[in-house]
Amino acid sequence: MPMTRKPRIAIMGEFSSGKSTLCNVLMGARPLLEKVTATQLPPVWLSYGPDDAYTMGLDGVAYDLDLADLEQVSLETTEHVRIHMKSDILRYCDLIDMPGISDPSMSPEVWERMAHLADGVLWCTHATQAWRQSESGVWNSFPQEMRRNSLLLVTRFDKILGDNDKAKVIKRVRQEVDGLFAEVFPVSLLKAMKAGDDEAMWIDSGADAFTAALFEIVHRLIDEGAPEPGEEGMPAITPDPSDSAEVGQSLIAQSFERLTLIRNTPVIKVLPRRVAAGERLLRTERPTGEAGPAVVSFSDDAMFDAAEQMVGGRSKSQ
Amino acid sequence: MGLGAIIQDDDPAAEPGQAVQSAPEIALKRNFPGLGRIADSIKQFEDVLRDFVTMSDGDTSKKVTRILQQVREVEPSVTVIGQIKAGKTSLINSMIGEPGLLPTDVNPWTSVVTSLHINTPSPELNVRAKFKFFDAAEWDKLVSNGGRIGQLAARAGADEELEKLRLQVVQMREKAQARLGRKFELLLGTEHRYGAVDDALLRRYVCVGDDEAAGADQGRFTDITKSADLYIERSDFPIMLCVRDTPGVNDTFMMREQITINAVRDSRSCIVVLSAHQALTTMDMALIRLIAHRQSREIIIFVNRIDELPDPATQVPEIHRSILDTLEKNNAPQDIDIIYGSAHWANAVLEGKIDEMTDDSTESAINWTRAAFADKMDSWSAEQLVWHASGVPALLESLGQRMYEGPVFEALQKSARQALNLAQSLDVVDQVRILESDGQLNRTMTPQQLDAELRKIELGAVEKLTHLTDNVCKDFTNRIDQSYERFLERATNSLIEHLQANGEDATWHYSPLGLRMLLSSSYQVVLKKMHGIAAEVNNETAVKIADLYGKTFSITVEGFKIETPVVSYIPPPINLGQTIALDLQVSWWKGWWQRRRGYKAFAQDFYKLIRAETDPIINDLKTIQIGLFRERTQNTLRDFLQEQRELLMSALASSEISMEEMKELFGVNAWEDRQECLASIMDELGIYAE
Repeated sequence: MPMTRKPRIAIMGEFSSGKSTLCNVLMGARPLLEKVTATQLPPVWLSYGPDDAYTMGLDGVAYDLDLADLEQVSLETTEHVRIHMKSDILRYCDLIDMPGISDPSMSPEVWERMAHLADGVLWCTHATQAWRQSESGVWNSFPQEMRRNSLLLVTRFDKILGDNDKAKVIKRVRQEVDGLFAEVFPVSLLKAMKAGDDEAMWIDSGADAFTAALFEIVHRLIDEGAPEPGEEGMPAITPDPSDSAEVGQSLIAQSFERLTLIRNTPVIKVLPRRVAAGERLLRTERPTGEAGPAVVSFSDDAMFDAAEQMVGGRSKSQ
Repeated sequence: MGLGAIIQDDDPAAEPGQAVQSAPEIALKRNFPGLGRIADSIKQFEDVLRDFVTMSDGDTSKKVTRILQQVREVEPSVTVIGQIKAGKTSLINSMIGEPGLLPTDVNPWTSVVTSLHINTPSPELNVRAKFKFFDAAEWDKLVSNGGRIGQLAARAGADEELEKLRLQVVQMREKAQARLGRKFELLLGTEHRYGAVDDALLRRYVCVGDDEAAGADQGRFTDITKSADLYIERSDFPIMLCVRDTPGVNDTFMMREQITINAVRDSRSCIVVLSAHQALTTMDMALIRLIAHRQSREIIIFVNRIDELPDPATQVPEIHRSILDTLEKNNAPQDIDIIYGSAHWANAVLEGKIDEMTDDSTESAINWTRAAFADKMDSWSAEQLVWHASGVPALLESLGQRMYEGPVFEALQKSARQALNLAQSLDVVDQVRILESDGQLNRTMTPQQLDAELRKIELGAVEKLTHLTDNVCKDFTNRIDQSYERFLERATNSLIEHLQANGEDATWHYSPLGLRMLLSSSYQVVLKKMHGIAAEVNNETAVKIADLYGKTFSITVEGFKIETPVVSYIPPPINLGQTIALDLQVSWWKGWWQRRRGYKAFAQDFYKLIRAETDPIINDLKTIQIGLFRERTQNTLRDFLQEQRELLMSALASSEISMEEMKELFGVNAWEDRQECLASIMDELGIYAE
């Protein structure tokens, strides 16, 4: 039974590992505080919808929240902050920005009580000190099913100088997290944020590659209806239609849009011919859900790249 | 506490118009006022002792030379600890001014505790590098069950972690076998010595081997190497110093952590290296807790890698506030010095390569120097600015200050008191001679009688010390046992209350902080008492010996007293801060929790778990630490008694030599000079002895 709600992707990692920056790259806007020292916020759950924000107290009561007062939200009394906004990435999935682990002034309970909500995790680890025991310990405590729906982002990768060193770091991290994540991506999120229309910079930042993988995960979650199957008789969830009033215009969301187009394009599969029957068999798979346009032009180079990326990603994950 | 950058020294070498020197030279000769002060005070003290030697007879001069030797061997030491990849090794390289000395890498690299002895003569001729391998027992302990961490994991039921450790152990063993042959175990317990230090050598012994790296020899002995000692001469370094590099903690390769934790004990001063982009994590706090029962003067925090901050001028104060906040919330010792900097910048200056830094790094450096050294922007060269921005001069200054006030001061004090007692006894003998020449001397004791008197004092003192120590230890043991039981009871009760109130599904967190504080305060109390006892017995003995001088020669010399010995530094118990499965490994605790069902099971298992966790800590305190204290105080007393016995006996013997003979020996004028000299030496030594 495919999912009938949007998949929830949690953003996790040690404090100051680039979680908030990642969130901002995903959203294309900057709603969250981005600080070197630990940001003292409870988990922030972001969903698509007309602007609205509230805090969910530990007492089970929702309180209105003015986003200007975000910094004043109390860790002691708040379970999480819920923000609805028309950010384009949220048309595809919900995001949960978790507080950093290993922060001595933040009890792990603060994120532990929200962890069960996540379907997949984007785990940020700082390139210069990538993948430490404190991270490994926490990640091992998460359900194993989550691993194939989670990505490890090695952030601030631009701080590792030289191709040789870059390769070394990635090699070690890949070895250490073998089987713990669907894939490992080196990224420079600051670069990704600055990229704007500069596509070369965007690809160079590593954001493009991980976007494709994230897209895969979001849709696999929907298709498989795991870990939480959809409701009986309801259609599988589809992205919200785009809205001109949207804030954000994140590059990731734009890639998602293109990837959606490709995904919804009919796929023609030729089955191996049976010799005996002498008949020709040609089957066409029907577009799923509310299909996109049946004809896709591949004149757009970027889109072509994206398609290749995706194919590459698929073959790797098999 | 203060930002390191605020420590600015007016710097004579920094005058404008200074001739162009090669960059490393400028950097290193420039700024060691703290270390220089240590060098000066040691040298001045040595001068006094040398004066003493020139005026002494053969026997005395031997004794003074021995003290002089002791002073020359003062080697203050500092251990650098921190998480993996915080930049410990780079920082050490920049501190000693040899950027490439210890090998570094983008991946965790250091895996052996490496002691760099700067300007310390090697104990063996022509040996510049010494690598010690684990002995068979240590190796077995490490590989049989993963050491202490393995035991922790096993008790907490952290199966995955335990499995991981087991795999690591198997790999380690296989790697050692592949690199060293099947009989690698024969190497255990031995050591390798070399006459020179070079990069390839270090890579063989202290670096994690990387299979694909060029040298197949890399990391060849690393797995079984326990410690490395390197002897390095740096003429620009004013003192002898030992700097210890340690493998980072929080490595997924958990085996090395225990080695680091043990190394912390060997040095009095510790530098905790943090990474600026993530200041003070729970892991860093655990490290600070580990050393927190030291005096705060012995801890320096160095926040490294500020070169990676885009805007250090605004970010550093933010980080500073947050660190202070965290330290305060966690009851860390007050007044820890926090210094901000970048080993990367320091090494760039030392290599004369500040032009080759990346744009980001250069911009950060400019941004930081503008904020921290605004007043020097015009007068300092770029090298000077970057060197100071690196925080390394401030770190050395702060370190020098601590060593000056701590170990160096104590070492000089100890030696000064010994020398003073020696001078006092010479003075007494001289007085005796004067009296004798005036015909007023009444020698009341034979050597046999003196020996008997001394024996009486010795026996009495040792007995009293033992007796008092025994009492204190008994008190301490009772106290700790009682409060330990109370802690366990309280914790278990609180667990049951939690279960009654919240049911079994809500995970319960119990902080071992209470127990740790309890143990720590009991330890402080016993430490104080022990020092009190030692002082009491030593003082009493000193008075008795002074009396004995009077009795021996039937004289009273004005102002004569015996200096009491200093009980030498006792390293604090490392175990006190040691992590308990509960407070570090969140996941272990959760696993434990999920596996329990039923109130009874919870309470009983919890009691057992905590007991197993804490018993070694308690036992360590009760036996090893108290034993150490007992041994140190007794040795101090015994050495003191021995020294006084020699002095008194030889005073008695040498007073047999008459004034006439002395004058013949030295000449009349020389004799009077000697008296004056002795008086002035005693004055000078008095300054150090206080």
